[in-house]
Amino acid sequence: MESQLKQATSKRMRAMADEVFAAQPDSQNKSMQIAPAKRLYESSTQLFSKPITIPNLTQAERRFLATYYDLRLRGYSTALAKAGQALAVAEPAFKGTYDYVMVLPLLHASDKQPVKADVLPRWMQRSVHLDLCSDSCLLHFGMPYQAMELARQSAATEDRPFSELAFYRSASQKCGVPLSHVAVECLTKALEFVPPDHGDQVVALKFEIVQLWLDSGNHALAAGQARDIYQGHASHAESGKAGWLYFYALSRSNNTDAILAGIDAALSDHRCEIYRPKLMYVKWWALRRKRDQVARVAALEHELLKDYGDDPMVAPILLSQATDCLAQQDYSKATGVLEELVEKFPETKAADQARRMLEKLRKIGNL
Amino acid sequence: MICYTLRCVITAALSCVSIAIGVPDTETTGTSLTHMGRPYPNVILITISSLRADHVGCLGYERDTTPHLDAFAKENLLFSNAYAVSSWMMPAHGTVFTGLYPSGHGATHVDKDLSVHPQTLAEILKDYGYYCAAFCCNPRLDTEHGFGQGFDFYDDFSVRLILESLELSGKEVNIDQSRTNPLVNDAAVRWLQCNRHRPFFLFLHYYDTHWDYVPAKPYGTEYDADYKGPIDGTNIAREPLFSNPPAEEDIRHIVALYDGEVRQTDDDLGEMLSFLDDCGLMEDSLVVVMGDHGEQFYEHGHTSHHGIFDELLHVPVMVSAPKLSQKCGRIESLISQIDVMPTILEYLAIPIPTQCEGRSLVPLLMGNSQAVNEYVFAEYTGGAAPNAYIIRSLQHKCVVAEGVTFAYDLTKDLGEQRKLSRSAFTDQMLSLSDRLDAWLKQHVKPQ
Repeated sequence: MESQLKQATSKRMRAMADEVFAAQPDSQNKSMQIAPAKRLYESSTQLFSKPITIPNLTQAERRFLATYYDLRLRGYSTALAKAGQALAVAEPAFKGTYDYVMVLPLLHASDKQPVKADVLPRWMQRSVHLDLCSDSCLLHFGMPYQAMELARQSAATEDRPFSELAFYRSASQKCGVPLSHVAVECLTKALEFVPPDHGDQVVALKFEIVQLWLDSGNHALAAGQARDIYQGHASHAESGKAGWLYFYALSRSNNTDAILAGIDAALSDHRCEIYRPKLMYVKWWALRRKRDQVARVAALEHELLKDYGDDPMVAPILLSQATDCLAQQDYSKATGVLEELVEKFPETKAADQARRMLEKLRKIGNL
Repeated sequence: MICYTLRCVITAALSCVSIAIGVPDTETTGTSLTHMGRPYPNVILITISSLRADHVGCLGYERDTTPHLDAFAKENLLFSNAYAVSSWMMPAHGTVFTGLYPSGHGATHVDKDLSVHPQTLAEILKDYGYYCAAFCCNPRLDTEHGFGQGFDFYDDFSVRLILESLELSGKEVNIDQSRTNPLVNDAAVRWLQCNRHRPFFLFLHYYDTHWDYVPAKPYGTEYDADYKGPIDGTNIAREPLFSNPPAEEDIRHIVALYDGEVRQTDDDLGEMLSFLDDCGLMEDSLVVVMGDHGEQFYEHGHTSHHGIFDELLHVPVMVSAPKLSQKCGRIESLISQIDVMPTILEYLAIPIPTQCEGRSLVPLLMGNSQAVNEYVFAEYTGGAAPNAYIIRSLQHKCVVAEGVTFAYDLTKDLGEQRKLSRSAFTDQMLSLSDRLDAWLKQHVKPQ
């Protein structure tokens, strides 16, 4: 019976392999091209998600088959690892051994079922190699959960303590902006492991997510996360900062409608008090994007200059006002505004521009 | 402001010109000049960076990249055979601003500024009472390179200032990857809303179609949503992408991203045209919309825009002008960017300075002529490709590059893939070649 089961399983695996390679066009006529490990994984996930059904098996037979399957898996992974090592000797630039070795185990894993270290070659079942496999899962395949499980198994081999929270935070930093989506997934998973009474830590992690989205240019996602903090942690001391980041992220994603729909409430929200000049600037920017809000823009500028006239953020607004005066042929007022800009914010780029404009005004004799 | 005495002199001059081109009358009333019995029209010149003609819907592109341009072209005049004088922004705009070929105005290299000697369009219009304002965000078309010459207000700074003020991380703003057109529109609209000057000359330049191709959502995925490769639209003009064609699917994606930028810019243009329309400015303004040069996608081995091939020189040009006898239509005549300045001036009945090397297209606008040019010239001396000079008729193109003359028969080889050596020249090519030699003697100093 065991022999028949082995034969049936091997036959099924060969059929699947045939299916994979038959999909390659002109495979007989071309030299073998090996796809990158991630592409091999992605192009095979659908195939490996098909259940293998062999009817009328007892529980013992099922257990036997699963063990046998894992052993075969280890056999193939070992062969791949050997090939990878040989390639690395021949071609020092080759660094993909771990990535290729992880393809088959990952195809047999899922969000609920982690990669088992014992399907890897025996020599890879040591801590140092498991950590490299964990990095491969994280940085190459973008699978934080599998990376965490391998890291956990690595720690277990040396009886080291292991913290999921610490792992996910450090994994997020490893991914950083270039792998921002994976980094955010790490932080999101980290949130699941924060103790219930550590609200500050939850908020800090969420701010980290906002920052990652901002740094990676995913401004709409940053806005969504910032709003989540602003509304979901309303009593937190830093919720005002979240409010500011929400509108800032909206400005970066050019979402003027959403800004104008909600910014007045934020401006009158005591939590946002210290961010008021910044919020007013964003409102000014958004109003300018509307073509029929001339009066509101002027009123806001007046208010901003009156209340926060010493904040360098108003420098571009002064320059804009000077431009308006020039358009209205009010050269003396334009000159006054430009001189005020140069005097108040001499180090800003707006002041540099103001100096050039003043020089031109002097040259054409309007002073 | 223009003084009364000068205005009288100008009026007298304008009267002569207006008679010459059959315009009924030119007079001054009160404090403003009039033209054809009405206040002088404003002039609005809009240039779009790197817009190649064959990616514009009304010029035959299969993708719906330019619905607003197409609508504008349908209601006005479209020049379908318009050519840039060079394949990049500085020489092209220098020519539009001076009516001189690049070798004449000097802005032929990033290190060479627009010459201060030729009178610019803005300077001339200013002399005739126009207030001249410009809004652009192109790192090369700035006052430092001389392009602000003659403008009362040349805003090449506020878009960058706004972008920098919105950059929380303190990172240097990368204009090539920033969305700048809406901010150009913001600044221009704000100026128009406050403007008390009549008439005015407004120059707008949209830069977002220039590489890098990083259109905002949803434009970034409009034409190739399923692409999974490594091309993200950045570093298009740098090695290895510049001169190493990637896989076909990658090139298709580069084109799709560029088309996304074109579609996005078309919306920005549409917004501006709607604003002008809503303000009633379209009715009393001469509006010219044009590409400054094209772009290449490995048709001749490279990306970016350096060279003399048609994908780099063929640009869309559209004109809307009040009181034209021929209000709308497609004009197939060969024209060049060098014709823009004399056209604007003649349309306004302002004498064309002798420096101008182009020809006025007013006879075409008026429907009084079928053609003004038999051929046009272009030159490339930007440094990123060999220096080259061309003469182009509707059927042929002759090239002098690195001392060698060759030609393309555009009737059989529109893609310019088969160089013809001088021994294979037809009589027409020989004639063009002679004209190009004469032009070179006149324009290009021997090295």
